[in-house]
Amino acid sequence: MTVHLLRHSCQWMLLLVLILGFAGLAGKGAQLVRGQTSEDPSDLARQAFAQLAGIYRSDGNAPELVAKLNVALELIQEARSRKLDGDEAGALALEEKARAAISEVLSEIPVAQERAQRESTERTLTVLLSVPVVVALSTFIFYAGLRTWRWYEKTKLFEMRIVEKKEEKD
Amino acid sequence: MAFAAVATLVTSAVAYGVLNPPPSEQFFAMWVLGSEGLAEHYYPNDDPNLRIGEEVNWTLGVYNHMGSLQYVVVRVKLLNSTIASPDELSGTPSPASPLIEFTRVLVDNETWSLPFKWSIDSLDARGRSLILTRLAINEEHFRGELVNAASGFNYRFIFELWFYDQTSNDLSFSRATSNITYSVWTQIWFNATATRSG
Repeated sequence: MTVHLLRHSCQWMLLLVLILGFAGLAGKGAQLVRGQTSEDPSDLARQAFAQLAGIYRSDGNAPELVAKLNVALELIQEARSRKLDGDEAGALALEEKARAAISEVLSEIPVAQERAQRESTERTLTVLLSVPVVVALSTFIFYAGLRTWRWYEKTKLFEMRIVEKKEEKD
Repeated sequence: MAFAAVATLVTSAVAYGVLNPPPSEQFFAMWVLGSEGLAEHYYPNDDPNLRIGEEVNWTLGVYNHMGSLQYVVVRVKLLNSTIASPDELSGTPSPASPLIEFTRVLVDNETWSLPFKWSIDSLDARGRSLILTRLAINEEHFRGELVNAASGFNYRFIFELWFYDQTSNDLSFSRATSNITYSVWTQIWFNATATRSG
């Protein structure tokens, strides 16, 4: 009885191991397929674009990376053209070049992101500091202007009074 | 004290207005220009009846005024008069598949000009129809039954402007803002004659 149970449980375990093994293999396969599709230069270009757009959204800019990405897009276009003409080898070489250019862009994006963030913080600080300075300065200029005008009017009035008194004396 | 408070309020409002201008209208623009970079002289000798081998020089232009970085694709389609055009109301593109496409990333306020040099390389007659079987665009050659038209009349190139929509993670032909659908496309008609250009 015990031997029978043991054999049964062994069979179940073997089945479980097999199922897990198949599941693992399937997972690996899916990963491989995903990996292959993400290696498509057009997909890579869109990935790079999405990250660059993020930099521009946060008020940063990276024109040199945009230019590099555009060169890669031109290479993809040229590869497509070569493929159409039946030059598979040439197309593959161009696609590889494009992939390398996009990888370069992708690798430089973190630095650009950091720079954009730093510049954005600097801009915010400049605005935050400059607004009270501008407000205080303009208030002071307005106040000083008003005081000067009043002083001018007072001196004018004083002059007029002197003239009036002079006329009265005469 | 009251004066200082009022002055602070006024200057702050002015400063805010200057630093945060209202957002401008967002749009894409696309155009096709003739051989001299103007909206004229689209065909050799201004004759839209094109002969085999006759070279046509156009310049495509795309302008990004979306206020952000954009990934744009110009899809070029070759149609006759019976194949549906893009539908602006529903925002659906033409059902024809693109012959060629041009892709570029544009920063805000950037204009992209690209040459579009093309010629008809061969035509096949089938009954009353003329089938365009070989075409060259920017020195790229296309073969096959590209499009047919009765007696060679009313072929057209349609240029559709697609953009990469990050929310759908795909290229999109139209965008909707406050229940209005916007799409950008343009077309140029031509006829073809089976005679060879001298």
